[in-house]
Amino acid sequence: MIADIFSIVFMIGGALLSLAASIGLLRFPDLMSRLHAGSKPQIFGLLLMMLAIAIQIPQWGPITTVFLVMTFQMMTSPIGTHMVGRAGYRTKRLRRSMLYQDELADAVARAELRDSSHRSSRTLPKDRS
Amino acid sequence: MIKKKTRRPLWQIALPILLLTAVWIMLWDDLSVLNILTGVLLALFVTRFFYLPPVELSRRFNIFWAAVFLGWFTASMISASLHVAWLAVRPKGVSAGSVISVELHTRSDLLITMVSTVIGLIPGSIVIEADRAHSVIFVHVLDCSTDDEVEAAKSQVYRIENLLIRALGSAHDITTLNTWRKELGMPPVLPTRELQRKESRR
Repeated sequence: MIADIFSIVFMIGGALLSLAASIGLLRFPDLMSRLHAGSKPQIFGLLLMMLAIAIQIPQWGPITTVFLVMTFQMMTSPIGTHMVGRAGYRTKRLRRSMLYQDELADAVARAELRDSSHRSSRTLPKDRS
Repeated sequence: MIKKKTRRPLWQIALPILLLTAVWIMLWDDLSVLNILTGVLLALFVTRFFYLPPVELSRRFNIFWAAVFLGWFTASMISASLHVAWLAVRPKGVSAGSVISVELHTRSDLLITMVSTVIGLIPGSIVIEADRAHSVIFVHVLDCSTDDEVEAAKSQVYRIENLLIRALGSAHDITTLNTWRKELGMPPVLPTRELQRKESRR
């Protein structure tokens, strides 16, 4: 009985978080914000779902599988988000109005300045137009 | 003459094989002799043919601080998930985010990776670039449009690093952390026998 209540709460919580993730995916205006919405509440939502399953079927078989699902989800999801975010930033798929402060742009500008001062003695950088 | 490569200690070779075998057994849901055998064989095959450079472990692990970190991580995961979910559904919509740069104190690859993964797991922040040579990570923070929020996001990254160094940082990491804390007028972490022993050994 108590186990049932717990799993109901976990499953509803997980479903609501996944719902919030999909709403955020639709409503957020730019790539970076959408990355947040698409991955984060969903991880925790999945965690809650898995907990509910583990409560309902307290046997070694499903519990170890649930453990693997959670571990790999938590290991791979930040890396996937990071790669998309990095690619997005590098290809300038950014909405500047959605950035209050951008300290990476400062670092990039510094690095380019350093590079071009190294290079200018030999040739002009090609990618300037 | 080519010098013979120094051998890695046995446990460093055995650990990945052990972990991979455990994953294999968990996938099959059955602890039988055949599963263990095929698991070990597969683990040997995978570690040999998909070779990765060995991870430098710090040889230090404090179970108390690891528990503190886990507790803090769970709590912030719950609260931040709710926060991001609220940002998604609130009528006002989301305001601008920020990309902040944070210079970490540790120089260890493992710790930088762990800090970045934890930042990636906690809702509202993702690492979009890392400068390994200078241990600088660039974090995009959702809904961060005042200077106070930028500061809060930075101090959260430092808190993650702080907790992780206490849990499994090397003695060198702890010394760098402590010099930094001394500058800020905070008491040093881990002023215990464990650290003094490590310090005297260095």
